[in-house]
Amino acid sequence: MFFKYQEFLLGVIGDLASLWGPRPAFSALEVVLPVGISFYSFQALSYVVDVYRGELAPCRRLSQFFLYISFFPQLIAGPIERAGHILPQVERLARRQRLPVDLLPACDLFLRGLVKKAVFADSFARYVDLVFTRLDEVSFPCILAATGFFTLQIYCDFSGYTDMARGLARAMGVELSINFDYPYLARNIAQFWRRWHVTLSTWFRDYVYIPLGGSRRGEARTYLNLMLTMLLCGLWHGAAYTFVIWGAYHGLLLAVHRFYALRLARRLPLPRLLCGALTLGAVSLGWFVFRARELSDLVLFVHKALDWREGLRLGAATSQWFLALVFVAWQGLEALWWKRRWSLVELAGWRRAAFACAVGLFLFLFKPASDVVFIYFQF
Amino acid sequence: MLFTSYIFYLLLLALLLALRYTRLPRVALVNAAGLVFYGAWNPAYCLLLVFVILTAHYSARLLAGGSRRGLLAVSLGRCCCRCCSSSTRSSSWG
Repeated sequence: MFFKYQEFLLGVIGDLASLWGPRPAFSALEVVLPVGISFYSFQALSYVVDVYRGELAPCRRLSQFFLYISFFPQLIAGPIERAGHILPQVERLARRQRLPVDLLPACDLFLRGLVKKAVFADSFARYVDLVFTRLDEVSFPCILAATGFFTLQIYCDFSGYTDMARGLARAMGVELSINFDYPYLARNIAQFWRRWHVTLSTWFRDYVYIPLGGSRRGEARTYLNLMLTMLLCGLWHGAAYTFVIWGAYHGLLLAVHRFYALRLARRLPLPRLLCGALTLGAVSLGWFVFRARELSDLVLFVHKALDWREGLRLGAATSQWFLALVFVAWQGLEALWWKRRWSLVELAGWRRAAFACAVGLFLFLFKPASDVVFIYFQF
Repeated sequence: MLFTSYIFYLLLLALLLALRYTRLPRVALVNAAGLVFYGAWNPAYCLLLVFVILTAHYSARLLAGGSRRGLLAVSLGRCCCRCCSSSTRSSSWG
């Protein structure tokens, strides 16, 4: 908490004080935020709360608890695991004579994540970074395109990391939780949060939303609880006004969706496709706020929208458009047509070899020369 | 250390081989790997990680042992713990 929020808190106090008089000169401590601190502190917190509630017996062996928190595949960027899920597996790992030898599912998951991250996310990142660093110069269509690319980038980056983490853990005989379930195909915002960063949203549900009263204390209180929970969720992502606004925006979306579902849905039903498109549009707009560096970027967005022809037209490269199309087709076909994930495990013989070669070739052709750090490492 | 770096693959291979083909204690091996992985960003981070682990481990043991009130104030704050009961959980957002 201290590491992450001290600078932001001093800034907020300074901003508030400047409303009444001269801005006080606070100097925040120069600390480098430890990577992954939000993830492992949440794991530790959930463990202590579960023990306090009597839902979990405390772990007797420090070494096993140590592994639960510091398990390196998920240490830096999740999934945020519950002790009840991991500790029994750690105990089995300690007792087992031999590890399971089938590495194929583990390699398959890792490779899938690697392609998402190294090919797709890193390629999209080049265009997104270019536009977001020159936001005052570029035209509104460019900003919209970059927001669209960032929508894909953050998904590829984060779900790619999760796939890699799950693959690595499986190679050691540990099964981590699924964190993403095709979130951009959600038909409403509540469904989106059940599919996006599942372990974080269930954490907030179980340790913040429900203790606040959930939906049991009347309608007005439910809306308030949703707002508070999402505000905290925004703050969890980062100590900046943009993240607070992003959290509040999602709280508002959840409240609007709840109102619609309870009061209007029967009288005013919307077609499924329209619901999906509206959800994706609202989520993408939220990603702009999430990616913005400062509050002034949000003002700039509105100005550019009102004067959308002005500004520099920076187009994405053909390869980036091609990759975006490939990714959308891949995910769409998998989720809507195949109804299962494409994987090495389901193929046999020459098909498996050919698939592995194709993935290797894809990596070789499209992987950018330099590695980009995972977006969620900053949290 | 990134999952996409060559040094990571090298260390991972060494770890997997050690886990499979040696009789070294597995939990200790994976714990050591965790510290190396985290320490690669900045060795000082490991101190914070160990501090978080020790605090959570011993607070939970003390909480389970009975001295709930004082420790809870230290480790969590009261708000997380007021109206929590598994029987009243709702299953979804909104």
